[in-house]
Amino acid sequence: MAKNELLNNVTHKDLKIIQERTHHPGDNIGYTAIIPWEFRQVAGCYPIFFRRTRSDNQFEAVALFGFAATENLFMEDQQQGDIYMPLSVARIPFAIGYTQDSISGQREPVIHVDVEHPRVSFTQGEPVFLAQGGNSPYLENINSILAELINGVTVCKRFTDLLQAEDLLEPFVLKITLDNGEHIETSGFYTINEKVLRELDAEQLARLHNQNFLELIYMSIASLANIKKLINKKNALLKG
Amino acid sequence: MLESMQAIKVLEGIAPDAIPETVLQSPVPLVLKGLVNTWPIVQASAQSARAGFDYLCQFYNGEPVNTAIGDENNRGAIFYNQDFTGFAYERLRSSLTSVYDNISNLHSSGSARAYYVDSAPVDFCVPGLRAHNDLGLAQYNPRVSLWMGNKTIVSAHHDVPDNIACVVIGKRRFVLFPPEQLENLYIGPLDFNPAGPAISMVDLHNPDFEKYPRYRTALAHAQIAELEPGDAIYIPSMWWHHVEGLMPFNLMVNYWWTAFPSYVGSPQDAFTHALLNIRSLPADERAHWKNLFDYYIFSADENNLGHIPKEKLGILGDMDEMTARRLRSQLLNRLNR
Repeated sequence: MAKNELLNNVTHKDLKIIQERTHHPGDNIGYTAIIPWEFRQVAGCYPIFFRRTRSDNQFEAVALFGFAATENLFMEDQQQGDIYMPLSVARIPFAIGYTQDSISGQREPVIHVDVEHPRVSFTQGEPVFLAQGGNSPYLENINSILAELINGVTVCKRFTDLLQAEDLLEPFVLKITLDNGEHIETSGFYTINEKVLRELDAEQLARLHNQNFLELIYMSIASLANIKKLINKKNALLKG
Repeated sequence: MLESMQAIKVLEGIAPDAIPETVLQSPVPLVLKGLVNTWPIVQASAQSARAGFDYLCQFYNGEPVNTAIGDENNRGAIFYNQDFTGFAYERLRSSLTSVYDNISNLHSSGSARAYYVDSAPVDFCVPGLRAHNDLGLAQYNPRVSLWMGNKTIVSAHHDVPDNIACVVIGKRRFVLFPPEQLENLYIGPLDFNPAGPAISMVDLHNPDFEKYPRYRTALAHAQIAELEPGDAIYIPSMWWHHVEGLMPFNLMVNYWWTAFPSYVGSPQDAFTHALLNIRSLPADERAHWKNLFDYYIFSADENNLGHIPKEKLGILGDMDEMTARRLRSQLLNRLNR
């Protein structure tokens, strides 16, 4: 179970994070949320889908890594740097939390760490804090990843809101028969409705284009070619 | 004791949108009698405390406000508990709309326990209030806060910014001590206190002179004022102030600001840094640093530097934004270790 704590240099003085990702729960995730300026890299590697978030039922864009919630067929490739690692994977086991400033009343983002994550250690791995409590380069990097995610999630929400408003999302059920005869069906994902897209008028297209959302739509569509890559990976895995 | 205190100097006839520089830069506290008499919220509260409160609530956006509620034996003081392990009140976040009723319920049940909404940010929880109830301090981008409660007592503490506090409902008593009375006020812990600033450990109304003998000296330098709705007080930066609500329901709006250029950070940060890096030095080394601070920082006398060509003064010259940026980056790099 995840147990998020507010990161601080007293409680977590000697905290280290093991960098080698393994097929542990916590790293072995079947998909992850992505933000608009990642689409270009993601579309070259993974299929991009849309799905409703559990927390607020809004749509988010996700990169698909496997055919189950705990299957990442690209773990080794990501680990070795052979393939793009989305920011929301790179951040693990850190996460964005919020605290309320007692003076201004504003919600301020803070860093949470999942202290139950299998890669959390106090003896091996990359140190989070410097010897006297300053931020290690690793933590600075995590900081900037989380800052990018905060901005990106806001823009992505604008994007998916517009997709919904233009009726551009349609449910997509992935049905596959693997080489060993096993049938796989994943649901809960949405893709771009290409018929609706082709019928958009100039004004609607301009609205999407003005916010650089049109290119995201086409990259999402093109990314579906990567489904074949996932199937091949899965078949190769089954063959051993 | 209160009767023998010197009264804070009173100025009358100042308009809220034209507070003179002589007031804003005054080295001593001033009572600004009737400063905000013309505020609609003050006029509403002249009908009744409830009417003033209702006027306020029309701007409330539902953001919960920080509230301190005294324990069973609490008599209004926002203070430590008996054995100094915690505080004599509980903190929670509650709705502004219930404050008036909660306070009047306490009152009618005969309880004297404190009920205090402190430092609620006006622009964040009652946006729109300042449209017709404001001071002309916009150029300083002030932090504006609400203070609301029953007969609460907040022991002497100080704030870094300059302060103008305006009484809107009820009555408030201020007892001020000059900054240099620090050693006579028996100030408590810096990092374990009711609301951020460290407070005097002495009970102003019942001082234990055996335990706190130098407090007599502090009292000899105290200045006092009682403010009614529409009155305001100017408290210069770093002046110690003991503040009491005197009526069953009291509301105050205060403005904190600093007039420094925005590249100047809080002196509090320099103080914290000195706690870390200077206080723990051996006495002789500390004395050398005291000398250095006196020479370069506190006297900052140009005659000290006459032997250096003006164009070579570098960071000893006039501070500007670019120099401040360089120093900030140097500090950031050196601190992160």
